[in-house]
Amino acid sequence: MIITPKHLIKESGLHSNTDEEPKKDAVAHLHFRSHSVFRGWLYTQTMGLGYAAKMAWDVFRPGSKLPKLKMLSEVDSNTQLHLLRETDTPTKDGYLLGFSYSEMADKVGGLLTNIGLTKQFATLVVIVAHGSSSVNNPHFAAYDCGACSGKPGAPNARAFAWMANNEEVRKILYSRGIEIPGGTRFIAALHNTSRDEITYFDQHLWAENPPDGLDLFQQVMSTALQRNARERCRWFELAPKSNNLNKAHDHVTARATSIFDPRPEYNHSNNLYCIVGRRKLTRDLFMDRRAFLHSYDPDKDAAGNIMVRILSAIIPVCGGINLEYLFSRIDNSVYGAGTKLPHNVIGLLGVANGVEGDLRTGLPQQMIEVHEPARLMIVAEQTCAILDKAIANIGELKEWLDNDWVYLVSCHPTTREQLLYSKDNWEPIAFPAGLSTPTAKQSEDIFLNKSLGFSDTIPVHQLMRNNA
Amino acid sequence: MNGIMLACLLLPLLGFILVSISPNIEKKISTMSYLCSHAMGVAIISLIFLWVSNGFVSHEFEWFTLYANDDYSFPILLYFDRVSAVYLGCVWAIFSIIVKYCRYYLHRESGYKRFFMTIFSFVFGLNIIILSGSIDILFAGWEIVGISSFLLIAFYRHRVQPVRNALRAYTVYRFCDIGLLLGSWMSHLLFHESQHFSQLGNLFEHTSFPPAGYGSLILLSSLIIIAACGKSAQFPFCFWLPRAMEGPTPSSAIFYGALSVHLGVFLLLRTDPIWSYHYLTRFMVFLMGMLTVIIASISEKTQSSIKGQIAYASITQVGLMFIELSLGLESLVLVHFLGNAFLRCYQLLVSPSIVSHLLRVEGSADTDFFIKSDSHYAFLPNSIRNTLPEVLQNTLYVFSIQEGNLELAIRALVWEPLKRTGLGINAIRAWIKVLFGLAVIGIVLVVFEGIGVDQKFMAIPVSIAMVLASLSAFGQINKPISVWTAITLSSILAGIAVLFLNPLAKQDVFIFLSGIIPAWLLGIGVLYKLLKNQEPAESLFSYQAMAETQPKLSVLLFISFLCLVGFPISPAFLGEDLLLSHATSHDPWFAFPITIAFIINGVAGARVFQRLCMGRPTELCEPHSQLITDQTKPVSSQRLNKVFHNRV
Repeated sequence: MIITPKHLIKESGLHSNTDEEPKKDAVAHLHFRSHSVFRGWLYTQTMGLGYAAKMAWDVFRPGSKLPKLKMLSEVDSNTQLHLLRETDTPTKDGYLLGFSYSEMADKVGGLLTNIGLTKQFATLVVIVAHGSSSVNNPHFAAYDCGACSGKPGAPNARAFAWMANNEEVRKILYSRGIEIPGGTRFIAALHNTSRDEITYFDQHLWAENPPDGLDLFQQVMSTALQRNARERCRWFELAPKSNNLNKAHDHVTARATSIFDPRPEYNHSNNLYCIVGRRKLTRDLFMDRRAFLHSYDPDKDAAGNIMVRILSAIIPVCGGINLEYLFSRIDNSVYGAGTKLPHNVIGLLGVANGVEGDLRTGLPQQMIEVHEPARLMIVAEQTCAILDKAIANIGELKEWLDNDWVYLVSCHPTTREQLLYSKDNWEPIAFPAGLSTPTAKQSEDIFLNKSLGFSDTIPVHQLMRNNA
Repeated sequence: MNGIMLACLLLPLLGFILVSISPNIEKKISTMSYLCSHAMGVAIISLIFLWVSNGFVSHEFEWFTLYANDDYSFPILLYFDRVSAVYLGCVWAIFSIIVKYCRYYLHRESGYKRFFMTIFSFVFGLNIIILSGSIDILFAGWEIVGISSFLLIAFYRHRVQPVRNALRAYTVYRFCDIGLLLGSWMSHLLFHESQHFSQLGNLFEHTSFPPAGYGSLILLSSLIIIAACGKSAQFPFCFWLPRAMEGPTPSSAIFYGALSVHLGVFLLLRTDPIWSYHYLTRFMVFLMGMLTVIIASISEKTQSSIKGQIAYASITQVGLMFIELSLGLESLVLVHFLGNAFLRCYQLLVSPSIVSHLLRVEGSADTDFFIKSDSHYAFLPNSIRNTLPEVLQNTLYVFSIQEGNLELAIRALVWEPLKRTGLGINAIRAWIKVLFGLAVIGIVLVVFEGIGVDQKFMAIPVSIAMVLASLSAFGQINKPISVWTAITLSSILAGIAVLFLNPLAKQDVFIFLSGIIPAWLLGIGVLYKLLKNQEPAESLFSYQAMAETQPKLSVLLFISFLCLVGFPISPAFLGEDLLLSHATSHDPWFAFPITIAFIINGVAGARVFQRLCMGRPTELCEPHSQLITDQTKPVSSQRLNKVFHNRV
């Protein structure tokens, strides 16, 4: 348990004061109690035949060809979050209902400082949460955000954008040295990682007065998502091999919507690096989708306090993800969950094999089969001295580093000298002679290479851009 | 029409053969199964169409006579009527959906080929049952379905639990085969030539008195009901169905959700004239259905997993079908069957979706959202609602969690005594057994010669020895070879006993043994090869995963097992039937021991196969892994090297 929640945020429909009969929730149609024998008989007799058609339809006509179905993670965006706390009395469950302005400023300021975004704000800042939609998936939650209890992170993004746009919060932040210009707008969005689609939230807040550059952003984003889909298709054996972006995107959408596809996506398979630093460090690198990237400005962290916060987040989160994949891949039937095809769902508790089997731990075979098991390597763009200060303050998490559960490399902000952390000292890294980074013009040239096996990993390439 | 019927019957077999000879390449298997399933679909549709255009007339077709010997004949009889049409249509719809589903769903799964082979053999068996024109043919299909069920439940043969549950389902199937085997024998006995399904109805219609005595009719009906109960997981065999949900989800959907579970209903529909003749047997069907509905519907409510719930829901509906059958509502049963098959199949296929369903419920739940558990009883006054004694409630709860303890009951009543006896027999030393046997034979011979009793009473001690040999096979837990030998011994003794009873049956015995002896020799050879490299201590009866370490020998062992237990690919199947019908026409008592012996032999053989061939092979470590570096470098650079390897 990393965080114990203290606040409760309520969500409500936008138009709550209508006179007409309140529209029934989708849930109102679902029933929770088991049928009585008679009702079961009646339903089976009458509606059973209809399921033949439904089944045939689902199997022969996968969802992508149907009008878009509303999936769980495609959260309805015409609701509003009640973020501002109106009273300080906690609810009977002990939660505070909403945040006060200064708490909001803490949250916003904390995140902005962590990623080093405290000045030179662009006019548009998009906060993108991630979620994943898949159908007929016993491991549904394993595809969403682990840090959000296996749910899509959309509410967090929306809350953050609302807070960061709020004038009161900005005033408090200004007094703390973070000046967000009046022209800067925060927009919340959700990246659906299996379908490679993006949803923008709370349109009612900016529909009349759209932020500058949003149109351009949306265009760029949709191309980026298509190219992302194309790159992900490399791992799917049955995906189209051509460089057709639309086909690739259709393919990943079909995967996410057909009831017979056990691999909607490969999630974090092959994760290997976590790079904490300025984005200049990784610019124009092709990393084969293997890196977690965390923005960080080494110049603003002389005491290492920010690094403490970052390490305390990435070691359990990224390191945890990495080890989960590592062990599930090493022995899939013991540490992992085995193949997911026979899995039997037990409430919201877990899955088991068959009816009387034990609960399974770890990840199923269909999530890890292309994973190359290796420990996470964190590269932090910071001097060893400051990193040492930070490591001294991360408490028990230091054991992860001392015992090599994750590797930590310090990359000097100016000299780029790299040293590997070990329990006693920082060891120099000697690269073999003659090692050179391969280059390529664009990433498609690399992963569309015909000689590449579909589960081969690709070393880091330097991208040589024409306009660079 | 005859040609199309044969096509419906043989296309799945063709699919099976094509898949089994094809190389283990996913794409090829997928294409082949696609073509075969659609060819079968076309055949089925045209058959049904033809039947409709002929004005819904039932159609019987005698392909050829497999074997005939004075008053006995074994014709390959096919029959098509309303019931077949409904079942066959359902098979077509569900099978083509499942094949389409699995071609994609099982992508990259080891055992892709095995899976398709198994479901094709399953559908083959199913089509035989549905198109069968007599109980004998139906029995052949019944066996094929049983074996493919066994293989499909044990599809994930690495883990012990599926393998164990597969054997459990197989033992129930096998046990209930007693019903069908004896039933087919009795129908021979009672109706002679007229065991055609097509003639059953007439037989009972035009006579004011039944074609056989009430007593034997009731016995025959009970046997059929036992067989139906076992296959359809009715009381008291409810327990095996939920536990059979071990294979990939679509296979559970087609087998246990949709088709296999309704075979008992099919059997009852087919033999309807026999058992519905008398009120008592009608009441038996009703009672079985009723008990099942009660137990399954409360067990369903305490199942913690989605597949368990669906399984019990399905059992409940089948129980209701039994009730409807006993009330004579056949058309309703057919509609009910279709509804239940499609609904459960769909529910099982999308059973993983229960996660997103529950998440959605949870996500939409307000903080003060509760599922009101007692709203159901809101119409009752408060005083009554709260006074249902808690003890009673808890008792019911525990009862339903344990699923009525049916499994323990069956085990304690049926299998444990058999196993104990077998163990007891095996504990006796071999020479004592031989001596004892010789002594008994000697005494009997002397006595019989002395008094001049008919030779056929010799069959009594021989048949006892036969059952004892079967029990010994069943109780044997250490030596697979002796199980094989004991099974064979039991079969040979059966042959000898028949000879004593009816010396004219030499040819029948010969046919029977011509299936058994080669199977035995093959089995012994394979077992010898399989076990030769093993330390004696290792040859204990543990899961040895030889299907993976010695795939070819395992297939041979499997074939030997099939022949030994009288699977319809070997002459022993015909022989079994011959022995039963011929030798026992005058001595009905003999049917009982010989059936028992056959059934136990089957279970014992299946167990040997299961233990030897399934399980997880010992994993071998790869000697050269990329991550391991050579030992000569100093420690720190080794570590670096490791890190470096991570990078590239």
